[in-house]
Amino acid sequence: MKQERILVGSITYAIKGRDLLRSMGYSAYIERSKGQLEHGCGYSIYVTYDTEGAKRILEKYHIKTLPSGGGEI
Amino acid sequence: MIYFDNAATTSPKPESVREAVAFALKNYSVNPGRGSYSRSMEASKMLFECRETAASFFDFSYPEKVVFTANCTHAINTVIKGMNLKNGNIVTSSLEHNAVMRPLEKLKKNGCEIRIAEVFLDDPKATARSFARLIDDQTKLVICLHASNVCGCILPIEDIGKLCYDRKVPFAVDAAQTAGVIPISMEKMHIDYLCLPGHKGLYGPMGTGLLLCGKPLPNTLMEGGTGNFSIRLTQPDELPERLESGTVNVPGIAGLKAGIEFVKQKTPKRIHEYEMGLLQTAYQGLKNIRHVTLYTPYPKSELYTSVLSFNVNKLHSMETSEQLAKVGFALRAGLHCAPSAHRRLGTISYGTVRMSTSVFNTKSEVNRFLHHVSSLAK
Repeated sequence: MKQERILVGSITYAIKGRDLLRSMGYSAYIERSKGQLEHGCGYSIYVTYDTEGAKRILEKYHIKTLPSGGGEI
Repeated sequence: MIYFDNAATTSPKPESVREAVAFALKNYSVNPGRGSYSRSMEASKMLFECRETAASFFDFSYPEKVVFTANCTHAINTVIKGMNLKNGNIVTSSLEHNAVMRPLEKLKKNGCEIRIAEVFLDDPKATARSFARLIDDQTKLVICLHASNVCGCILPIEDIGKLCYDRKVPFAVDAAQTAGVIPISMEKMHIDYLCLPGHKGLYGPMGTGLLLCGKPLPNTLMEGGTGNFSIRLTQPDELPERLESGTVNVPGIAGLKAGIEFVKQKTPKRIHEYEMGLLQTAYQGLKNIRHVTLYTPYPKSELYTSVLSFNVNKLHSMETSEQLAKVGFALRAGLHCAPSAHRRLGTISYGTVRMSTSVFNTKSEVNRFLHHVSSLAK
């Protein structure tokens, strides 16, 4: 299944964001960010569909997402 | 030992707290917020759950702004030094602990004036008026304790918070003696920064504290590894990591979470009523002993927490506590790191003996204590 990542600022925001997305029906999980470490070490939330919708929900709840250079795994 | 030094740290700790610490030492001896392996993620989840538990307990909408500190003093310093205060004035109370007074004293070098609002023991409205008189357009911060660690007097935090809100002045509260026994709402009380220990009324382990950080702090006490934005050499802006450099006290935080859950289950209201019942018994008993001096009016539950200062007239406070220690009682004598409060009470030259109860004390312990104080006073 295709999974897309959403980079967030910290493990705290990753957990908060994952729990929020799960409460809204998304299949979401956290992993250490892979690929190019454009922000240094960090965590990402992975979702299986509607990444843009998930990002909008996170932003609405003040969970800042970060630009990602190549987010698919 | 019969322990009446709960204002310093509560003892014993609940069994659930001891078990949570032991569990964390066994299962979470890893670095949270850094690794991708399952134990690191589980530890991170536990930390976040503690933040959520604390945020909910103190009516604060932002668990990600609940910062783990080593103790209440650490939280207070994080706020005072984090604000980069220069010039202007800071308003505080006449009962403060050195956790507030010493960092404020240092700020005088930055040109800050420290203004002391008088506290009236049985008149919270008069205390609020003291604050109102001192706050002006040059006030950069109002910081005060919620209750005195020397005499238990509760300050009218909600009224002071409203004053600060109306005048747009940041408001920080030292809840060392009230967190867990007096309900605190960050929202309703207009508190911007709530500083508290984990190891007193929340029954967590020593080495734990919290800062509920409602407004940004431009400066940091420490910088270092946070597990995020590591490519940058500057400290990240995001809370809580901005204020949590280095590995946090995972076993302690696990115990703190269990401690808050213990208090939530009992409820602060019931804990306060129980503790005050014991303290009021002690107060009445001490009042009936000749040659014992008390320093406050009768401690009504709505005006005091379970802290009581006294002296046996013919003895120095240290001598009294030592004599009581010999017969198995743990109380603290001296100035309790709060010389300002002792100046206010007129006990600066010899201090007081302080009795403070917890949920684990009993009426029979109080009666035995009164019996021994009576013997000492003869």
